[in-house]
Amino acid sequence: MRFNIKLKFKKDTFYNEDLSFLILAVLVIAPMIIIASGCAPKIDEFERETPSVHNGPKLTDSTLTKFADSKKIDDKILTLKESKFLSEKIEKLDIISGYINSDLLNYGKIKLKNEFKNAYLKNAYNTKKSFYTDIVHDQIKDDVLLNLKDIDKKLSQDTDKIIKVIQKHNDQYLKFPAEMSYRKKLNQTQFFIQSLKADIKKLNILPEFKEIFLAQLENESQSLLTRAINLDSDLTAATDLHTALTAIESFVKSADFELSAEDQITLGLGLRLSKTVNELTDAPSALQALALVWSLLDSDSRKQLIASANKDLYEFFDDASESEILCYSEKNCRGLKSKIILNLGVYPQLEKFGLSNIKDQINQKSISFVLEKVNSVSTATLETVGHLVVEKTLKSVTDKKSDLKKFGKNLRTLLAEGLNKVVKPDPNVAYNPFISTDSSPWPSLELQLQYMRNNISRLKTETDIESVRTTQIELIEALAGLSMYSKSPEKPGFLLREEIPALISNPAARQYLDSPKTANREVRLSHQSDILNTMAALLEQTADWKPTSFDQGASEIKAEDILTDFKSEQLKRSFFPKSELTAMTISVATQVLYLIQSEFSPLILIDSQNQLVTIESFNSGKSGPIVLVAATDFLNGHRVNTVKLKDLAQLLLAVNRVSEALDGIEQTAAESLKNVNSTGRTQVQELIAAQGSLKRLAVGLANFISHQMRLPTGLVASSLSLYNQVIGNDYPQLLDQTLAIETLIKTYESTKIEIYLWSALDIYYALNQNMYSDKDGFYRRGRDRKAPLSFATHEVFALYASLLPMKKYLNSTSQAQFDQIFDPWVKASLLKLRN
Amino acid sequence: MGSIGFGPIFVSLRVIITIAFFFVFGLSPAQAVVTSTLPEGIRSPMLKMGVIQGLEQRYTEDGKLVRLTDYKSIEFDAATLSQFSYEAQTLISSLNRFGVFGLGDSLNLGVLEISAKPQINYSAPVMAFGINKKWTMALAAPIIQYRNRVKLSQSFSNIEYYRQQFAGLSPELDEALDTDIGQAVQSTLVSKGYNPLVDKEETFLGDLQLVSIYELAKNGDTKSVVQTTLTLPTGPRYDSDDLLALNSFHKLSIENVFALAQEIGPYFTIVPFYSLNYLFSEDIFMRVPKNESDVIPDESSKEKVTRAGLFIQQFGAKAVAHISDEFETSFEYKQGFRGQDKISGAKSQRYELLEKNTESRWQRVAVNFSYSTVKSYFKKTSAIPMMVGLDIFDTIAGRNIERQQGQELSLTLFF
Repeated sequence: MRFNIKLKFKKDTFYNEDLSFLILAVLVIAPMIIIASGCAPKIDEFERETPSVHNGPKLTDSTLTKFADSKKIDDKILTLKESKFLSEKIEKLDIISGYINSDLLNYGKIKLKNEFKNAYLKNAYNTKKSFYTDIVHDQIKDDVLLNLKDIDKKLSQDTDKIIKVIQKHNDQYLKFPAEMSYRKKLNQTQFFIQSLKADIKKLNILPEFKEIFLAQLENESQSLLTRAINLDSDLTAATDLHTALTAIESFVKSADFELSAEDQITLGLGLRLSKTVNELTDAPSALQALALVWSLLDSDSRKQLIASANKDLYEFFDDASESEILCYSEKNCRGLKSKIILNLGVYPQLEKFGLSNIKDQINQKSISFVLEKVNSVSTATLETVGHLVVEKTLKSVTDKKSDLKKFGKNLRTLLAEGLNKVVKPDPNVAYNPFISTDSSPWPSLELQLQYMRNNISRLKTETDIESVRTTQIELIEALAGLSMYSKSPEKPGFLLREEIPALISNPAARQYLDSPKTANREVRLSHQSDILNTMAALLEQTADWKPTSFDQGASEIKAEDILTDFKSEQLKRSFFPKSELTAMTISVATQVLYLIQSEFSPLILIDSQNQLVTIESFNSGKSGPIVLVAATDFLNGHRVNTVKLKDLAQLLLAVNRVSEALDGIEQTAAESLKNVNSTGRTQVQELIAAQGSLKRLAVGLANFISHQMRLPTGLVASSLSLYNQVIGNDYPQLLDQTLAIETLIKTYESTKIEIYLWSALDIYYALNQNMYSDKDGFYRRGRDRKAPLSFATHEVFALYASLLPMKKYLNSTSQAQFDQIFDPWVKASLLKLRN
Repeated sequence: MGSIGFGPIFVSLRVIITIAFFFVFGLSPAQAVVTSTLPEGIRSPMLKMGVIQGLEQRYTEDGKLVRLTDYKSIEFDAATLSQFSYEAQTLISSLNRFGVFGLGDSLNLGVLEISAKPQINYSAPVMAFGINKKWTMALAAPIIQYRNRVKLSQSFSNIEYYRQQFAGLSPELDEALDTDIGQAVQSTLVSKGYNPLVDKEETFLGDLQLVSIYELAKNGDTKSVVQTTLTLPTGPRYDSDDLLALNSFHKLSIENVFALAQEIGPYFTIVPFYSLNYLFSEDIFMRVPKNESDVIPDESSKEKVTRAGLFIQQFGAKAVAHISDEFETSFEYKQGFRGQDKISGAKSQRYELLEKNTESRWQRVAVNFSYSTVKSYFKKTSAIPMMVGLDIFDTIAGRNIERQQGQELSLTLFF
């Protein structure tokens, strides 16, 4: 633009001295240039950037310069044995075993556990009063009895079927014609048996019964036939009366056959005769033998056999009375007359006839008679094979029914006996399903749970399968019996032992108290946390959706190993099915979780206006959003006003652990967890939903610790008044700080919410700033800096274990400092334990 | 917790496009004072076509020129959110209870930028008639084409960090953290009976103007003129439901401009002038805010209110350079002042809130280039007597007023 236009059009005027053009240039064109060249108003630019969120802890780590020397701190370390109250001091054991995995600490860990076991575990498992066996018995009892009743009924029906078949075959095969030879009868009997077996196989009867019956038929019939065949052979080979009669007698006995009275007498006489004949060495014996022959024969046979041999002998016997015949046969004739007659008349005649001749004559003449008798007996025997089998069958059925009845009646005992064979308890110790102390058979819940957790930890290092199984069965027993510590919040009484099976299968809200028998009615928050924590630890082992030590341990034991007297396909399952253990473990945890959601919840919620909100109000949707959650004990039915950091931290740890342990629950095979309940959902679905609630609960608790309980120094307070939210006057305690750090780190790892990591690091830095003692090279317990410093070994381990998960989040300098602080104390503690 | 409501986020959105809109013979940004009258009996049809831009920029109360997008954008930091929404307050309070790091206080939903690009194209046929050599009358019928491109965007938010940290914790929190301010705005508008903020394009007849130019006196190189403009309310009425409506029409006003044209030599004329415009009282349906923060009043607050009559004054000067018989250029500078609205109603509501930031001042400049064949027509070197002009104008300073810059092309015939 510039002036070119004007130059072009007003060129002649530009060079004259007309001032007006100059004015024109100044007043008109210059402003145009100004506007065009950027004198136009400038826009006030806004400069913006995305506001950052605070991204790290507020505090920084202190540079510490003085650290302890492990050789010089020995006197400051107490071992467990030196601790006065072992049960109190040991409370951190499970934490240690749960988190420390380094080789360095392995020795200390095991030794601590052994000390624990030696101190408390004095009683062995007794299956007669086993809780788990009660539960199993309760679970299977009704089914078993019903099953037995069905079997009983079916057995009766099947028996009738079998008897009909036997009768049919009996009529067809075992009605022998009189002229049929013994050999043919034997063949016919074999046909009978084969045909019977074939038809029985076709019958629709209880397979197990059919199998037993056929086996029995096979055995019995085969045995009988074998004996009959053998008899035939024996008789054919017999050369004298005695051999033949002995064979018959043996056959009759082995066949379990009842001879008629006449046949029995005949056989008895025959046997006596054969014995007498064998021993025939003098005239009295010969007379005895002849008298027996006389007794065996009827009048026609006597004439035919004896008269034809010696007429005088025949007349002698014929004239004799029955009593005389009897005394001849028994060689006990008395009286002078008899002796004279015999000695002077009969005996010389017999000797004259020849004793060997008499012997031969008797054997020769009686064999055919015997064979005739044998044919009669064996025929009768074979004809009764059918009846024999029926009898055997009925007896078998009766026995079976008796066994079944006994089985049903003694099921609980049989379970106990069977389990005893597997567990092999020491018979010399008294029964107690719990660990016990010297003073009380009922240990505190806390101790019982510690025992369980240490058993669970032991499973991680135990390699001997027998020990693993024993430990697991002890655990299962303790788990089942744990409900004895609980009571319904709505009912005053404790649970009865008999109620446990129902409770396990259908969990409801339960309060866990200090002891099953204690008069102390307090509901301690720590108890509920302990239960959750223990169940979470146990679920890591019993979860049926992942491989654990139970797969080759207790769950490998089959039910048929326990109930050995009863055969059933159903017994091929595990006696400790993992899915059942999963359900049991979850059931106990669920009792506490239900309690937490109930009006008796130990939790108290705090809304954004700092108002306390009960679970009831929250559930009814009457409250606003909740981000803070506290929890307290109940004493005499009233909520305690003091919130303790230790309680919150333990609950938070437990909640995190339960939530993690439930990962994968959707894959469980536990039927009870997959059944649809009254709400139309399965327990699995509810548990998956509960995981979300647990996460929110964890966040609420973590917020309470990281926000409400923080002190201006950065440390956390030990307690806080619930109703006015004022922090207590207690000086911050060392263990509270480390516990808070541990819980916040765990919550960070679980939720990935960075604020908890920052909070944990903040507390740690505050700990170094406020509680580290240069003089001792370690942390003070509390306010008193002049008190002599001493820690029990488990305390050192507990402190270390609490802080170890945080170490990896420190920078390298702080990590090195962390090691410098703890290494000497941990080494000194280990040395103390070893000594 | 629920989603965060953003009902009160608008800070006079309407201001974006509420412009003083006078043109043709009035105080149009393009057209300066006219000092010439038509010869008696001469008719002069004229067509003006112009475009006004820069309306998205505004001179603030303290005189800074800002983009309305920036000026009216709202940074939703924790403090702002706490004021505007109970749900947001709850969210911030809740987040502050995560540790001791003031996580809630660091929450920033970013800046909601309501980017509007209003543009007005107008064409105005004018018919002027020389009643006598001193008095000319004219009638103008402006046709307005109004176009506005609106875009709502949210930026500079750190909400993603919170989402990443707290997603899945609870459905309520997820919902609260998933708030899209733009959507929330639109939803809120619709729920309050407003039209949604979407692109707009419409053409309508503006307010008719009847103009009188009368030459008071002429003495040598000096001439005085009075120009009276009567504006009739023929344009669209005020629409309280449409935040993008121009709402500058349907006014009854009368304006008098007194101008003195002083020729300085053969090539230069200087024209100082003063104008006084009276905007008659009017009854309008408006939404009356409940309080200072209620900048987007509910539909229930709609009421027929009376805006009292007020004066608008301007003064300035124009320097004209007569380059040749055909070409002429001019530069004009003027200052203006508009009095504060006085609103009254029958419901004892807080009408004073409607008056806020209605008093405005401005300084405008314009340059004009014109080509005329009138003299050459008289010399018979041109076929028709006509004049073509190009005006370029801008607002170079002001308070409580939008920047108006644009161009106007005019074609005038004489017969």
